[in-house]
Amino acid sequence: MSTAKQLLLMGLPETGKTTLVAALWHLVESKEVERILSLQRLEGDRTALNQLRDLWMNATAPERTEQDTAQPVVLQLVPTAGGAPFSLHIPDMAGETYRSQWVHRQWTQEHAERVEKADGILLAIHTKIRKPTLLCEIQSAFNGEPPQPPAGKKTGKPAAVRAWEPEHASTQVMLVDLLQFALAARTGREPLRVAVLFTAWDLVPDPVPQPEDWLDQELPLLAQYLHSNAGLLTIRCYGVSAQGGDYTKAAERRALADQLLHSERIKITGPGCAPHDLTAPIFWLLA
Amino acid sequence: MAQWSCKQKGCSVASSGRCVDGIEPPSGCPHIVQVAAGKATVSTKAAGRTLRLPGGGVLDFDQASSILRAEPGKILLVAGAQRSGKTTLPLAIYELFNKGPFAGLHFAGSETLFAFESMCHAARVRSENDSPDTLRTEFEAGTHFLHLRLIRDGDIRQPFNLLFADLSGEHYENACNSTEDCKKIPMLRRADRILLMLDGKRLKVPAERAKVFKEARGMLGSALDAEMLTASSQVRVLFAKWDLLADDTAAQSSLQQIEDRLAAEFRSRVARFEFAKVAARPELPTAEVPLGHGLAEILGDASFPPETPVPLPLRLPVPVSDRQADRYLALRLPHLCKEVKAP
Repeated sequence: MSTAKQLLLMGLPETGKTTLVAALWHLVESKEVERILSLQRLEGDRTALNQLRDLWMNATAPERTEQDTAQPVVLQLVPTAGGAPFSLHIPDMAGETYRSQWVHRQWTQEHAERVEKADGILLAIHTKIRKPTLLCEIQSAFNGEPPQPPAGKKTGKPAAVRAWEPEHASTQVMLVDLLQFALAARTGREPLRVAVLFTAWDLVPDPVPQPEDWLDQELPLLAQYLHSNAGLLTIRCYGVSAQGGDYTKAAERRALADQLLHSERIKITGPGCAPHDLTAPIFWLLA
Repeated sequence: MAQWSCKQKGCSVASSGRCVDGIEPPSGCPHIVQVAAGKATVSTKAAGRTLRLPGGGVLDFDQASSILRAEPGKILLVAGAQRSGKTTLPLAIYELFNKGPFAGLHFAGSETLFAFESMCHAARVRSENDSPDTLRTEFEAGTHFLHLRLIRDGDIRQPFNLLFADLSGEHYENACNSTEDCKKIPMLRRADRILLMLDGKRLKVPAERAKVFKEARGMLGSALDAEMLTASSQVRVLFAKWDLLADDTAAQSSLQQIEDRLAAEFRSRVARFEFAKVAARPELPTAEVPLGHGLAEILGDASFPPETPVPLPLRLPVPVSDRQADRYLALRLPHLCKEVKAP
């Protein structure tokens, strides 16, 4: 009988969480490429998973996961090199659920229990992030003159100051608070392992840094938080491209859909990773 | 239990959940304080299975106290006249940590991220403001706190907390003029560091310099005479908005006089009495006066040496009898004790 392991797939909206699940399912089910974890056996109703995979194979973006409708994905896995099998539960939570935690400062009892029971966290962060810019820095760059509006735009009457909304917060600040919530909900446990997955890694311009260096450069507050709480959190960073390319470009999309071995669309870089092995972060989280 | 509490008159957010200023969600209001810190609490208003998370707004006295009970930390009380840059100082420190480690310190968490973000908004491009501003926060007498949890370079074993309180301009002015009013500000006595902001914008104007000096002198004198500042107090006078003064040699000469006179009058009456030139958020950051100019020294000073947790608030003095344990207490913590005459 296999043991049950639970991971939390955490991330703000539109960070590619559903695409990660679809790609993971295809990877372990198709057995096309080298991977640390393999599917032990098929079990239960896989309709939803297969629909997601079909979309992914057709290079079609999935619909956004609605809040509070997430059903856990259950995979029966076993280490490819041998070892005890286990059932992996990954709830494909809506990004809106996480943004709502920041905005409305509440979560459900169910989610609190998931956090409490989680054996690790897959933290998905899109490489397109929101960073605040200070007005004084902009004005300094323009030698003290406020930047001029684009040609054709009406000037004269100063625009009203835009009121603050919680959604204006930077990506890294929201993520720090989400992790603070998660840590506060857990008591008396070993350090929580967090695999930080930078999605759309193929969009990072050259020279492409190591994922942990990208974290330090682009999300410095989050990086400090993760490093400073090493007694409570253990992290590894991965750069992931689960789509394999840009769906909005017709030629690229066609090439992706026409690929024979779709597992080769998956690209991952990080410690202990074969080039397409999306199971490596999961293996590390559960090790 | 209500989720929110608000210091504004007429705001019924605690009972109705609605902010009197119409800010939605109410947690975005800088006047609001969260009722529960740390752990999630069960909502009585929303659906039965909804749990409330820490609000992220400014902390009240008890919440700050619970942080200091759990871990070492310090309270920095920022005092100064209206628009002297009191609130901008902790916000600039927060913005600097958003960009990376600062002053040999690393960000390790905050209970007030929501408040920081809302208060920083007016100085960010996204606000569409013409020029940087800071949301005014006139939080009574230093009773609300912004929080940063930090570690020193590489030392994750000893996190410490900084709690920034600011004294409203109104309370500052009252304290400048009245020893009795000064006594109404207990945070003056409790704070580990007093940061007294002298407004650089006013100091640049010759006619204003004497007034700024008079206010600072009045404030320090009142606080000492009221015994709200004592021989163990640590005070740093900050020449704020230094970017406006850096090239003004005439003003700097006057500032030196102000510094000399304040030092001569007050240095011997407190444990530490120092001066610094700061530009928390210069109008135009330059290589000479960058963002956070002078703040590294203040943070470095506040972060070291580590101090043992001191719970807030310090209540009424403890009566001391002839018992040996009480005598020992009186010896080690004299400020907490009062002598009791034998009947």
